[in-house]
Amino acid sequence: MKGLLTKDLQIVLMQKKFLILLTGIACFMGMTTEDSTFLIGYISFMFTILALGTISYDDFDNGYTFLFTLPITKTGYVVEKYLFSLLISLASGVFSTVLSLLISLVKAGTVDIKFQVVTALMILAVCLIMLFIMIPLRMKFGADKSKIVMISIVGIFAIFGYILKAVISKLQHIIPINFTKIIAAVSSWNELSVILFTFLICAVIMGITMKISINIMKKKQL
Amino acid sequence: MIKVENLQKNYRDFSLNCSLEVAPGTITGLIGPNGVGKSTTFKAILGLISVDGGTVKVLGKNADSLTAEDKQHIGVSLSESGFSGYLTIKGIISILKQMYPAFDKAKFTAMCTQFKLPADKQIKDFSTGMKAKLKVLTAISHNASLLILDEPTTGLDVAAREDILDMLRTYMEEDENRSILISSHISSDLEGLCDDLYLLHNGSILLHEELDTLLNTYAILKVDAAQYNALDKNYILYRKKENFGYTCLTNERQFYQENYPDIVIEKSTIDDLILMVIKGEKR
Repeated sequence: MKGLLTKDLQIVLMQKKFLILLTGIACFMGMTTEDSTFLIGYISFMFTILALGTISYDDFDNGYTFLFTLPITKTGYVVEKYLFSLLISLASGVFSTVLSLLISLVKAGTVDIKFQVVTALMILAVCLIMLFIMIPLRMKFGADKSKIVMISIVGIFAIFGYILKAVISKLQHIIPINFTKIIAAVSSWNELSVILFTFLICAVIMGITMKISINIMKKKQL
Repeated sequence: MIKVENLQKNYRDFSLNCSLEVAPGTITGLIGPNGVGKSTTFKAILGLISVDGGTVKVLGKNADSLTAEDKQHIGVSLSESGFSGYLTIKGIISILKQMYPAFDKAKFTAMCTQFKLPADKQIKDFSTGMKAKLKVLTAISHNASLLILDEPTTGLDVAAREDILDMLRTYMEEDENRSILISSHISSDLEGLCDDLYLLHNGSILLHEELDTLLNTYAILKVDAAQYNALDKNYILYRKKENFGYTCLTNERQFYQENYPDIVIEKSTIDDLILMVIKGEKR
């Protein structure tokens, strides 16, 4: 596991010029836009892509074949990818939040720490959900095809949502569901509850997609 | 070390069905032309592909249930796969250190220096020879008891090939219980290295013999039609029609030398053997 983490870290650090450029752009955007929390999302999202990219580096040029002759198992490989993604997301979350706080301090002299941290945590959760969904797709379809599959999934969800909405509005006469009340109830939750609930969803998605990823890797013929 | 019994793997246009064994302390060669199933056999031995039948045991365990700890005792070099080309030797050292408790950093670094492999250059920028040397160095860097080397000398010049073969000879001399399974297109490499050879063709093992036996008792007989008709064919394994008559492969050179002094008898090389088995007809 440590060996794989070392390898992935090296692959990410290999792109240090890109990381420096990314930080520079993020700082510039943070300084020139009103809301410096934008850079938290920007940096976190870009790091997410870097973490996902390590799967492509492993797969590139028949890389998997040799990789699995090393003292690792396919399950261990998948677990490491999730752990590495978590660590990268956490590191980028902390880094971008500190950067955002510093920029806010420089710009306005004061800083709303609570707001920035809550924003950062929500962005972290979204990035993690995206990563956890993309990891099995990347493992199954590779870099190019997985993007098409992801877009297709989003499209299917949109159509499904539209159909669901239509069905519910038809059924509302039979089963009375008051969405306004549900939304109002969720809105009344405090920030901590929302964050905990979001991370709970994250954990569930991680559990499901990790199992799927392990199955994908076990079936892979190298 | 390795025991493959009736391994079966079926693809749409190719079927592999072979058995082979690698004993402790031996270097076993797997030879055959391209596309006959050598790499598929290696992948099955390494547990990288599922098999359709038969058993593959490596270090006493089923190949598909090798644990990470088991794999620490196996060193592998594959012809078409290796560490990411974006890594450097410096990076590989820290990865190997984490993965193999027995990784000998000092020796690995010294050998990289000896073979002039730059520590800070990305592997993708290495020459073919440098990449091949690095693969073998990686395989022998952690005191593995079994080396599995698929075409480790392909595409290399004579000097680079000899460097790699020397590395392997030294590795075997260090511990008499180590074993190597190696494949190569270059038969002269295997002639000077292996204890026994398997010849794979169209997914089947056509011949298995100890190298000493191959070189000492096998021979090529060149005979015209009349000589061929008069020949005792009990010890003829393969024959091939030629313009002058027939070329025959025998595993009883001495018998023909003593009984047929008039015919041309040549010591067979591994290349001759491959050609006869592939292009000739079995008797």
